[in-house]
Order: sequence, then structure tokens, then C-alpha cells
Amino acid sequence: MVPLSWYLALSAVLFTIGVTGVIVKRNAISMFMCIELMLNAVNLTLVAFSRFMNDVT
Amino acid sequence: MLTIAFIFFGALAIGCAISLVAQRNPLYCAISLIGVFISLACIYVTLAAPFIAAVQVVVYAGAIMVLVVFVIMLLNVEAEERRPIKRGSLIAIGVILSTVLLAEAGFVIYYVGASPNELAASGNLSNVGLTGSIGIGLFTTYLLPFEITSVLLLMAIVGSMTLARRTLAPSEVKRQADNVDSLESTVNRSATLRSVPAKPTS
Amino acid sequence: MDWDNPLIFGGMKLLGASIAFVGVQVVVAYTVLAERRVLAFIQGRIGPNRVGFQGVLQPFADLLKFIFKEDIVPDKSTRFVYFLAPIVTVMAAFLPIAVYPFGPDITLPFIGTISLALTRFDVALLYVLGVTSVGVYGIALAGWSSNNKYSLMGGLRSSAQMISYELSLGLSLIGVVMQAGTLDLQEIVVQQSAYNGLGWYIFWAQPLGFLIYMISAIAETNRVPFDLPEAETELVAGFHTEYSAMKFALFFLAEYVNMFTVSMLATTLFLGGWNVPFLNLIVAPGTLLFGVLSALGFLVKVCGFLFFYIWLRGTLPRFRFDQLMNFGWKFLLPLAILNIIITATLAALGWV
Repeated sequence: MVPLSWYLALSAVLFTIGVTGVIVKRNAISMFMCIELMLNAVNLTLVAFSRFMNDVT
Repeated sequence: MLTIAFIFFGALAIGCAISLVAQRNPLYCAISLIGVFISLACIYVTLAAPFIAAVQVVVYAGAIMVLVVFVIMLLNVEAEERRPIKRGSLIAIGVILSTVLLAEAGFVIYYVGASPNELAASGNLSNVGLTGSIGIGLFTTYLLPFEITSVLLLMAIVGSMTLARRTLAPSEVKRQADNVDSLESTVNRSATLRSVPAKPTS
Repeated sequence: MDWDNPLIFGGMKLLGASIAFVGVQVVVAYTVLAERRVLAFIQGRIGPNRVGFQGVLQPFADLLKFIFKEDIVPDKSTRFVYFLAPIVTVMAAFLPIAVYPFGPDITLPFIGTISLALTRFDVALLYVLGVTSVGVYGIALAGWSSNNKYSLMGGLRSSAQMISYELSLGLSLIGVVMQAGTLDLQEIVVQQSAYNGLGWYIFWAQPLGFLIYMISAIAETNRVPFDLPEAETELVAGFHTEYSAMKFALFFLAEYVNMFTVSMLATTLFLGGWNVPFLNLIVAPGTLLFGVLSALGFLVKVCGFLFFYIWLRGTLPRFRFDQLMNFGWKFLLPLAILNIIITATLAALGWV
């Protein structure tokens, strides 16, 4: 079973890459895509927590 | 087995994310982002949440990114240029700040992992990500937020419609109303080579 | 048999997957041949009948021809995307096969219970929809990367059409899901085996849903009368104009596999899947014979759909693009929502 902290680490890495992208990128579409990446990193945390706390909400 | 899958798809996600930032061609960025979404969907499967994984693919990869790819293709977004950084001191500040951030994140994650009361996953019997439990949660306990979100989405649709309409001249509006899909009219306008239909439209 | 042993489990799954993969390709190859023969019959020609008895070896001859052709890559194409596009298309076409139930669970002596489906999981239907929606990228990217106006127009038309009709396709399935109360395809089929295998959803409250599904499925697979992306009088050959040899063969294969999978989905959801009417009165359910006959019944239904596709191609002219979009957004989508309302009303009244 994969421990919770691994998921959190993965999510943190993805989020950081997303932040970097938003700062580095110049055109609006690329920045939008990096924001999507950040959103997904947060989603991963939510799903991981809901799995490990055994609670849908 | 789960660990191998997690490592594989996690590495894939991180690789695609790095490529998303590193690529300069927006279309390659979009393809990398699709890669991230699909590997995240696989990671949701390892979290015993198949419903969320499927919805992730349908909504993100299937709907949102298709629109982004369309926009990139139609507007012909140019590859961005690298600008040289003007002040060298900014690099130093950036390195220091990111080291601090990294240390902080590592600290937090280490203590989440090391704390004695870490939440333990309860076997494979979890029904958290299954369709039924999500549906029951969505339509009973959290019905009001769900409805509010729907109304919000409806407002967004109506708003985008009005914004798209306003830019047209009055004579254009009539034509636009006849031509149902504004996407197709965009295609026709932007493409230099327009295919001639058998009969003229409207 | 010991299903908990990962080696046996993995080996059996691998065997099943290989059989399904090869089987689908054989069926698809003969669909191509059947299409040519039936079209020839409709148009008063003879069709290919030289290779083997009545042309039965024609698909293999075609395959050989594709292999030996020169593989041309346009000079100004975007290389990586150009190679990626056919791979994405074929993968998206083949992946849904993993979840279709080809037959019921059967019990064999010495071996135990075998399921005639490769895998079975909670959200099979959503998985099918998700994987199908990824197929749009293959076409859009192929059109874009060829660096050709005809290809770009074909790719854009095709993907616009697919994402428009995907909505009504998804909505037409909701009626069935509401009635069955599950997204698991095997479970949906089992529920249709009521009334001696005649509890098909097309007869029980879903005829409208079936009609909408069929129309949008034909549009999804870019077949006549919705084959605008490949309208050869306007666009040369659509998104695969610049593709040749095996890469073209992959697009061709993907188109026919898509036809096959949407036919399987129609059969599974609306026509009772592997249920053969009154078979359970003749053969005891759960035996090997029952499984084989049920799987044959499934195949016959799917082949009926494939014949229907070919028939349509021989009969109908092509839509114009604005007609296509009007039809999809202003007629089919409201109709699909109406179908959901009807099903919900029936369910609320407790009739289904």
C-alpha cells in the first residue's frame, strides 16, 4: 500500500511545477494550462485524503 | 503492485509536467498536459477511485483540452520566444526562495509520514470512489452546493454567449443566428481555403 | 482453478486479451471485405472476388499491399505529432474492447467459473466514453500536423462533429443507466435477461434512446451520411490526406474498429447483449454450450449492426455541414434530454 505522504509529495511537486509555469510562461493559453496543472495537483490531494480518511466528503 | 503503478504513473506525470513548462510550442504543451491528466487518472485508480478517474479523463482530457487544442490550432498561437533575464540578482533570489520552499515542503511531508497516527488506508474494501457513494453524497447531503454550482455554470454559459454576440455587427447577428455553431463559422472564417457547399448556406 | 495466483490470473487475462484482440481484427478485416461486396451488390457491380474463393483472402492481400507501400512523410510536417496521431487513434479504438461482456459467466469442470468478459469494473460505461473521447485528439492532431489545408479542414470538421455528437450520445445512454441503476456493463446485460432473455431495454422504455444513440454513433464514427470529414469531393480525403502505407492503414483500421465497438455498445445496452431469447429454456444456463451460443448471439447482433452501417453507406447521400450541426444541436440534443425526462418520469411512477 502506498503511504499518504507519497501522494502529497507528488501533488506538491506538480503544484510547484505549475507555479513555475505560470511565472515563466508568456502567452495566456500556456498560463491557463499551468493553472489547470495546479488545480489537478490539488484534486490529487483531495482524492488521496478522502481515500485515507475513508470519507467521500 | 500498487506501488509500482504509483511510481510509474507518478514519474510519467512529473515528466509530462516538466515538459509542459519546458516546451515552447503551445501545442506540445497541450499534449504534455493531456499526458499529465491521463497519468493522474491512473493514479486515481490506484487510490480506489475509478469513478473520479473516469470523470477526470472525460472532463479534462475529453472536453477542456479539446477546446484548448482547438484554440491553439485556429488562432495559430506562435511559439514563444525566450527573453534574456535582465537582472542577475533575480536568479539568486529565486534560487534562495525556492530552496526555502522546498525545505518547507520536505519538512511537512516528512512529518506527515513520520507522525505515529498517520491515517492508514483500510484495505481494498473502500467504497469511497465508487459511483454509488459519490452520487448519494452529491444528491442528498450536498444537494444545495451542487445546485448552486449548476446555476453558476449556467451563468457562465449565458455570459460567454452574450460576450460572443456583442462583438458582432447587427447584420452579422442575423447571419450568426442562422449559422448554429459559432465554432464552424470560426473555422470557415479563419481557413483561407473554404470548401464550397453544394448550395449556399441560408 | 486458483484465481488468486497472480501468474495464473495474469496468464489467463493475457490469453483472453490476445484472443479478443485478434478476433476483433479478423472481424474487422472481414467487415471491410463485406462492405466492398455488399456495396457492389447494392450498386449492381461484382466487387472483389479474385483473391481466394469469392475474395475471402482479399483483406490479407490489402494488408500486404499496405506493408510494402512506401511510407511518405511530408517535408514540413510536425514529425513527432505526425507519428503520434495514428497511434493515439488506434489505441483509443482498441481500448474499449477490454470491458465489453462477450458472454455470460460459465462454469467448467476442473476449471471453475470463467467470465467471458476481459475485465469488469464499476464504471465500465464511463471508461468507454472517456477512452472514445480521447480518440478525437488523434484526428485533430493528424489534421494539424500534416501541414495541409485539406487535412486541417478535415481534422477540424471531424473533431467538431465528434465533440458535438458525443453530447447526445452520452445523454442517450443516461436513460439506460437510470433504468439499470449501474454503470457495470455485465450487470446491465444480466438485468436484460428477464422474460426469458427478452428484457431488452429497446423494448422496455428506451426505443427513443436507441434511435438517438444510433444516429449519434454513426456521426461519431464519421460514416455516411455524416462522413463530411472525408468528403472526397470537397476535401480530398480529410484528415488522413497526407498519410500513406501503414500509418494510413492504422487510421483505416481504427475507423472500422470504432464501428465495431459502437455496435457492441449498442448491442450491450439496448439489444440485450449476449441474451438469446428463449435459450435458457433449451440449454441450462452456466454451461459451456450456453456460453458459446450466447457469445454467438452477441456476434450475430453486432454483425447485424455492421451490415446496417454498410447498407446506409450504399443508400444515403451526405449531409451539408450546417445541416449536420443544426441537426445535432437543435434536434438531437433536445430529443436526448426529452428521453431522460421520459425515463425519469417512468422511474418516478415506478413503471420501469
